[in-house]
Amino acid sequence: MFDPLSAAMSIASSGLKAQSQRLRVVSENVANANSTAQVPGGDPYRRKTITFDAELDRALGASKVQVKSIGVDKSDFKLIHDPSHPAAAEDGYVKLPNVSALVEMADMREATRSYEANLNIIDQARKMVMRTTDLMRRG
Amino acid sequence: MEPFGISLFGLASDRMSYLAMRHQLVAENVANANTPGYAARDLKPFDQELSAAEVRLAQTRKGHLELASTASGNLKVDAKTKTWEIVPSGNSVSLEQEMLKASQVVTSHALVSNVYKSSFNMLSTALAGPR
Repeated sequence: MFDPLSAAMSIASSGLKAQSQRLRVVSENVANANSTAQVPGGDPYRRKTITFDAELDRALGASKVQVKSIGVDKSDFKLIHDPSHPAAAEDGYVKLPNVSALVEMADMREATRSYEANLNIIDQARKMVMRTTDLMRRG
Repeated sequence: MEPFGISLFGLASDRMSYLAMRHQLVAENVANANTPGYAARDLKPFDQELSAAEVRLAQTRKGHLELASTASGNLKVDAKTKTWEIVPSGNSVSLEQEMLKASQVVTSHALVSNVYKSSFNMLSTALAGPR
């Protein structure tokens, strides 16, 4: 059987990895919040989404977290009337990405919070290991 | 080894492996804090584990091997533990609760390792005299 404390550290590091990938997706969305189409009337950037899945690590006997899929948000694009825009269609409407800054900020906050929680777990596991090895010290 | 009439060292090491296992479960819950449909898991309280661990294999001959540990190998995971909240995606992990549990685990672990160390110091004082 695997030592539970080192197992805890490797589980928490899987959490760190998943949350940082989520942060990557958020930053892609924010960076492309105003990316319109290359051709007139074309589709702009589509918001990306990320989903997680619990994965049983058989060697560890514990469920880690992994990124299940990076998908796209199928909601409608925002339309604004701007005939002078290079990506405007013939009727003068431009499609803007379906990225909402508010949603992305909330997502970013949650990712950061979960990331810190995982980091906290690693730190505490490390402290417990240190305490246990300290038992061997004299005095 | 039962130097004080009670198996203090055995109890301490059982408690330590219980705490390590609990910390592992907390880590699992925290890692899956945003996984849809994931249900938080925890261990049963230590006193329940302790009374469950009383049953052992009988050693009727000298050649019979003793089981290495009493509690750590067969700790019961409680998959239906009560949590503070369940979000609409079906995830029942509350990060605040998990942080609380983790700090409880660390505090108890510090207590147990101090007990272990003091008992060991008492033994060495009895054997070798004060240094």
